[in-house]
Amino acid sequence: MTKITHNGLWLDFSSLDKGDKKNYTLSSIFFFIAGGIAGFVTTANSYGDPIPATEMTIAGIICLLIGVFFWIKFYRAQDEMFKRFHDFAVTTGAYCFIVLGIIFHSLSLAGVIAEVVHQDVCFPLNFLFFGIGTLAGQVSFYKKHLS
Amino acid sequence: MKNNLKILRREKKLSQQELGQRLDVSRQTINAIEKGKFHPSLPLTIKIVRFFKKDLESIFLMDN
Repeated sequence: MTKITHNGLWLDFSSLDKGDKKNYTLSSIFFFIAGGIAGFVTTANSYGDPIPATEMTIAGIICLLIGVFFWIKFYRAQDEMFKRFHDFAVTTGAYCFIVLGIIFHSLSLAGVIAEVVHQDVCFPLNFLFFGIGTLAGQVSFYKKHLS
Repeated sequence: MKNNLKILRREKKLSQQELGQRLDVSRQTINAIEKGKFHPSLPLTIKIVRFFKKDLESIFLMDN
């Protein structure tokens, strides 16, 4: 079973059994490739190049879906502590996504940032809010239940 | 909610790791339950009750 460490920001890989290690590693690899492709497509767009459309985008989506598949397999094999930890973190991320997203967009701050960095930041900004919320949720859950 | 899990575990001379393995949860989960920082789900509660062969309320105690 997974041992959560570093204030909820990490997990002890050696605590995983063989099947968990396989699922975790494969999901991480596919998420990493999907992230790389998303970065490539976004960068190409921001420099005004034509979107290296379908092949790259579809490859990214397929990698993302495969990553999700292995992550779900990993998640299902865990105990209830990990599942509650995971669910709490993702829910906190979703709240952050919505609340900070609404605040930023109502105050048109996304537009201000877009002018500075010369590209549309709507989705990356919301994704960042989700990430911040998820990390906050992980730390908060760890402090409350695991420390 | 309080519980006697630590006492019962020690009576059976089991470590948190060993109890976790018997109940199919992590050592962290057992530790958190013993400290009262984590309330187990109903399926896990039933597993605990069956493992120790005790009544529910002799393991888990409501504050009021």
